[in-house]
Amino acid sequence: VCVRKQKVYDALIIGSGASGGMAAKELTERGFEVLVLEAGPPVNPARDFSQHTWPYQDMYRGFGPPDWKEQEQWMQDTASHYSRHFYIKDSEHPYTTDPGKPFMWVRARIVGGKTLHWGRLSWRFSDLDFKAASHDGFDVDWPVDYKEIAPYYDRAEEFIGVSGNRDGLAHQPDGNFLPPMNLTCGEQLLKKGSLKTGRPAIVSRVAMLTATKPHMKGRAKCHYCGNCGEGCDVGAMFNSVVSTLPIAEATGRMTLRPNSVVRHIIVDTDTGKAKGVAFVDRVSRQEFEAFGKVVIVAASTLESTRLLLNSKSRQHPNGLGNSSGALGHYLVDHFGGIGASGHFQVLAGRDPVNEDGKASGLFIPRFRNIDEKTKHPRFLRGYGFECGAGTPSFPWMAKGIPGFGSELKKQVRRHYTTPVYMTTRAAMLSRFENFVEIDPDGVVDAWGVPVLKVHIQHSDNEREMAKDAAETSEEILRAAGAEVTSTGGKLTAPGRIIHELGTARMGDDPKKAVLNKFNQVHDVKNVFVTDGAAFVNSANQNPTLTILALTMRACEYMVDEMKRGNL
Amino acid sequence: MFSMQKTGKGTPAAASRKIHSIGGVMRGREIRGTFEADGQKYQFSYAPTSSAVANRRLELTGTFSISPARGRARPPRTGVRATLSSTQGGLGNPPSVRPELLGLTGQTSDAEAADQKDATPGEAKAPAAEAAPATTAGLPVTEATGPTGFVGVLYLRLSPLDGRALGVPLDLSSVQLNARLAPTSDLERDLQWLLSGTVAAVYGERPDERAASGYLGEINRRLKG
Repeated sequence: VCVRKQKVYDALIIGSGASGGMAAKELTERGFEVLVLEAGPPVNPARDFSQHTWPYQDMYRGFGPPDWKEQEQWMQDTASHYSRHFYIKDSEHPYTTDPGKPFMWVRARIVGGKTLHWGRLSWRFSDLDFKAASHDGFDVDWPVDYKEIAPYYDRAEEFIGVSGNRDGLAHQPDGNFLPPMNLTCGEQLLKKGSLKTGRPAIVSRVAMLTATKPHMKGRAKCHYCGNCGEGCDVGAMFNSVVSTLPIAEATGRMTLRPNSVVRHIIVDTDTGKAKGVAFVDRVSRQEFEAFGKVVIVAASTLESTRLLLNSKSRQHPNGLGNSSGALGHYLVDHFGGIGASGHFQVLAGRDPVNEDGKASGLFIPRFRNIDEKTKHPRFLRGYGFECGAGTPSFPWMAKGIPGFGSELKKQVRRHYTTPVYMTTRAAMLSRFENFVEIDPDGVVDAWGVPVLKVHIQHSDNEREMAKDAAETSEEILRAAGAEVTSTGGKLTAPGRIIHELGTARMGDDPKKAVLNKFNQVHDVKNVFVTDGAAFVNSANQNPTLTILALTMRACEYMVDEMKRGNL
Repeated sequence: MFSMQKTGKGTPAAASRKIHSIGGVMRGREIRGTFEADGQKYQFSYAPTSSAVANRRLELTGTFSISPARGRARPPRTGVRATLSSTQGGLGNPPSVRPELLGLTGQTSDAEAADQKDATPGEAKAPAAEAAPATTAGLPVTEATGPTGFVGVLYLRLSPLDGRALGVPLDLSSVQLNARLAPTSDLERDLQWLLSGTVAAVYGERPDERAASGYLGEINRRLKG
C-alpha cells in the first residue's frame, strides 16, 4: 500500500454537476484549494457529445438496438441512443421501492452530472414559494426569503446566461436576462388563447445563450439545432463542463478526480467534525481516503442524502446530520403527465424557420392560490404549464399521420408547424411520510455501498391539482383555436420529472431540520449540502437556478466563516 | 496530481475481486448479464428451476454459470438459492396478462374488467397488487401505482458461491443479483406478471398466502418448461 503524505484540502466537493461545479468555481475564485470527487467518468465533448449527429449516421437511426430502453428503466423517456452514456446503469446502481409504489430515479454519474442534459428552464422562486406555509398554513416556511436570495439569483443568471423577458409578474420574479428567444407562430396563438382565459403566458426562461458576455469564454450563441440533451458542443447551454469547472481549473486550485465513488464522510472522533471522505475508485475498486477542512455534499438530492445516511459513526448513529430525524424525509418531485395537445390547422402548410428548432417554448406561470381571488377550493399550491408549438428538427408528429410514401412526406411537411402541447409542472406537497432510508434488506450497489429504499406516493392534493390542470389545459387550447386531439393523462410517477428535492431540508430549528439557512449541517458545522436536498418545498418551478443561487450563497458564507475560524 | 491516501482495507487485488452486485435481464427462463471485475469482463446466467416461499421470502433455486467474456464456458453450479431481498417498482409498459391467469387473483373476469376500467388499454392490473391509496373517484391516477403497479427489478441474494469451483478468480461469497424484468416474449410477460403478484402477496401490506401459492404454482410450471 502506497501512502503519501496526507494533504488536507480547504474543501472537498462531492459531485461536479450544477451545485458541485458552482461550488468549485466560487471557492477557488476565493482562494480555496479544492478536491472535486466525481463518481462517474470524465467527459470529452469531442467524443461524448452527439448534438450534431443525424439519425441516418447511427446504425439504429437514433433509436438504439432492439429492447435496449427496456433494460434500463430510466431510459424510457429520458435518454436517446446518443446520450445514454451520460447516465448510469440501474443494474449497477440499484434502489428499491415498495410494491405498487414505484419511483423513477434518473442519475447521471459523469463529470458535469445532469447539467449535460438538463431542461435548462431557469425560474426564480418567489415568496409565494419561500413563504408558502405562511400563505396557506401547510408545513413550514423556508428559513430564507426572496430578498435574501435575489442577489444570488442575479449573479447566477449573469454567470450562466439566461434568456428571457421581463414580464412583471410578482410571483414569477424577473431577473437578469439575455434577450428572449422568439415564440413560434403556434406559441403566439397559444399565448393569446391563454390570455383570453385570464392567464398570462410568457416566453420560457432558459439557460441558453442568445448573446455572449466576456466571461463566457468558449461559449457560443444558440443556433437552434434543438438537440440540447445530447450534449451541447458549442456551449450555448449552461453546463459545468463549459462554464464553472474550466474557471475553477484556470485558478490552479482545483483538483478534479473522476471515478470516485464516495462511501461515507469520515468524522473526527474527538471533535465530531468531518475530516474527510472514504471513497472507492469506480474502475480499479481500490479504496482511498481524502481529507479536507470542509466537506461540500453536492452529489444530487438523493445521492447526497444517501451519503449522509451511510455516514454513521458513534457521534452520528443515525447518519450524519440526522439528530432531528428529518434526514431522508419530505421527498418531493414535480409531477407532469397531465395536459392537452393538438394542432393549429390554420398553420398547416407554412414554411418552417430555423428558430423552430429552439428547445424552449412558452410557459404559463402558476395561476392558482396566488391570492384570495385565485384560491382553489380543493387543493393547495399550484402548477404551471410548459408549452410548445411547432416541430424541432425531427418530425415526431409523423407517427400520428396516416399513409406512406410521397403523400406521407407531403403531409408531414404540411403539418410541421401545427402541433401544440401543454404539459403540467406541478408542486407536490412536502410530507414527512415520503422518505428515503438505507434499504433495510441490505441491498447494495456494485461497489458494496448500501442503497436507498424510496417511499413516496402522491396525495389527493396532487390528484385534485391534476384534475384541474387537465380541464384547464383543454380550456386554454380550445380558447387558442387549436384542434384538441388529446387531453388528461396520468400523473407521472414520482422521480420521472427528475426534480427530486428535499430529504435534507433547511430550517432554523435544529430539532426539525438538517441544514441551517446557509446549507450548513446543524450537527456538523464543516459539512454543507448545497444541492436539491436542501429544499423545503418544491414550488412548481424548475429547481436548478435556485440550487445555483443557494450554492453561491453557501460558499460566500463558508469563506467568511472559515476566515472567522468558525469551521 | 492527487493527494490522498490509499487505505489499508484489504489488498487492492482482493478488493477488486470481491463481487457485490451484478445486473442482468430475464430472457426466457434465465437471468443473463455481464459485469466487470479486475479488468475482465464476465458473462453470467442464472436459470431458476423452482420457486417457493420460505420465511416470508421468495426463494428461487437454480443453476448459476459464469465465464470470462472470451473464455470457455465453465461447469455451472446447480442448486443455487436466490432469495428475494427487495424489489424496484416497474414503470413503462406493464406486463399483459393472459385470460387464463386471471383466476389466480380470486376475482371473476367481470370483476376484473370492472376494476380495470381506469387502466389504459394493455395495462393489466397486477394480481393482488397493493390497493391504490385512498382516492376520490374521478381523479387522475399516478402511472404504475396501486392496482396497475408491477415489479421492474428483483434484488436477489445468491447463496455463497465458490469462484474457484466455477473457474473464475473472484470472491462470490455474497453476490446480489439484480434481475431486470423487461419482457420480450409471452413466457417473460407471464413470469413478470406472476412474479409481480407473488411480490405483492408476500411482501405487500396485506400478505396473502393463498394467492402466493397460486402464483408460485404457475411460476414453477413455467420454469419447468
